[in-house]
Amino acid sequence: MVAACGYGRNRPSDFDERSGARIAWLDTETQEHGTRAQSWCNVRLDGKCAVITGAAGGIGRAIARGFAREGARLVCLDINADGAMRLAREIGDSAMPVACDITDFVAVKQALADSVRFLGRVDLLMAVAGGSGDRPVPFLDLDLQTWEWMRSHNLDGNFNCGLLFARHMAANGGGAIIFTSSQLAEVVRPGLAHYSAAKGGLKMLVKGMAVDLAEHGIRVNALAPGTTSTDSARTYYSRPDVLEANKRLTALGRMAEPEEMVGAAVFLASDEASYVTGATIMVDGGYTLQ
Amino acid sequence: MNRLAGKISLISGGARGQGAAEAELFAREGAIVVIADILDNEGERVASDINGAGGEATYIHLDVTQELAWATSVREVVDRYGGLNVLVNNAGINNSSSIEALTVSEWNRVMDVNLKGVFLGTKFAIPAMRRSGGGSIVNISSTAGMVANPGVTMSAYVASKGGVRLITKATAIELAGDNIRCNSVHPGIIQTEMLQEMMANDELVAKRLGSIPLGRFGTVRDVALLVLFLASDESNYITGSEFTVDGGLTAQ
Repeated sequence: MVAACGYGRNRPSDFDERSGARIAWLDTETQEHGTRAQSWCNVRLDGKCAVITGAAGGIGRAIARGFAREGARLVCLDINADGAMRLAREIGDSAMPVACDITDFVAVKQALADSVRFLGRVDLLMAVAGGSGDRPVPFLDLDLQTWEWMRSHNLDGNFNCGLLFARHMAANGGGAIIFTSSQLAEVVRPGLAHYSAAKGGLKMLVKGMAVDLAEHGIRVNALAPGTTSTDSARTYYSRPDVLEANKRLTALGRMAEPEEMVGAAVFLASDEASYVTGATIMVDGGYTLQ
Repeated sequence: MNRLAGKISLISGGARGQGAAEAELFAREGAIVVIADILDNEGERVASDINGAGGEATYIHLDVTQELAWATSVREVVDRYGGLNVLVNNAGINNSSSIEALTVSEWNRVMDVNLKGVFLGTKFAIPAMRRSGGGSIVNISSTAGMVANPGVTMSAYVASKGGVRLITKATAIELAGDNIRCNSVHPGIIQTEMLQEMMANDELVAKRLGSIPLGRFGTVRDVALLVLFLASDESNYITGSEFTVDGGLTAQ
């Protein structure tokens, strides 16, 4: 590893005067000379207290690990208690699992209380939980149950988390909320009217919350992943022709890896994005471009 | 940190304001920075400040409206550093004439700098980036490339920035197979030299501040941090997309 962080030779004190982020000193091994040199790195989420919903899924796991690497303490929230526990154990002392079904308002209230007990406060909500179901359903075949499942998992659940965590943040000096939208909030595909409707609603919830919460020091943005190589996507795209069609629709010609969502999530979560609110960051390989 | 370690980056309009902030931040993150501008004194100073602080920067004189100048500049960069990884098409000018009062020469000037400059920069960067195995082009548009605002007359500027927004998408589509990504950045109202006139008018300042949900103008650093993300490999799956940094201005 190259020893330098930033200018390397430079004094660290003048690095991040505006965000006030703590600068951590690290000992790094320089391969070239085989000597230990003192270097420094800026941890981009140092001191942040984050709750990640859907933490046990592919994207949630990658982002949770990314947040932990950048110095955040976190609660890994998921309806899948085992998955949340495994992830929290892997991350270590800075993470705690919480089992919660976000479509249940009372359960989210309890999860917030548990999170505050562990973290002290929450200034970051990374809401990943959601889903597109396991297969497309042509519109004429939709039933009320399928519609309600889609709406509750992608819209109601995020409303529950958004409302309760925003109230907590407003009372505690502000924070940042990131919802997980989709490329299908912008365009539609056959058999996914119900999914696009839910994600399209979420897109406007993001803007509405951003406008109302700005005065409380809360930024609200969305991360919109394209087709990402997670377990659920692998099931969804198990038919080769469906997979090929998806690749053709993506300018970069491939699915995303979950890790490719981390950069945008860290950016939106950090103080680097302190002037960004009401925005959606598309991480879709150019899917919505064509 | 070293988020742009060794990336050879050309920033047009890098002599002051947003461009200079991008140059300084890029250098801190390990990039080799080429500052291109027509403001020679300011550009030289930004480069020498960066070099003095232990970074790596050069200044070159470049009028972004001149095709030959772009060809020469990109060749100089490649000769000197061996490639090109990042292009920030940042150079731009403002014009606040009403449509009625706007002259054709004013219109042409705005289009030349803001839109033709982006086209030429992209055109000449492509072969160099392709030979470097890919790259990232960041085009600085504006929220004025998405919406027009009441109370301000800037039709030529709005039209040019709207053009930047869409040439970005065309570039992204054409070059996806070459591993060259292209995205647009849409700053809201940022405190820079370009807006000095507006900032001197207290009434106008109060009115514009009232229109921004976060209740403050943006800083050049706010924009530079977003450009840094788009230039870095952290945004490897992002292309053809638009990024607002506007305090919520366009969320309303």
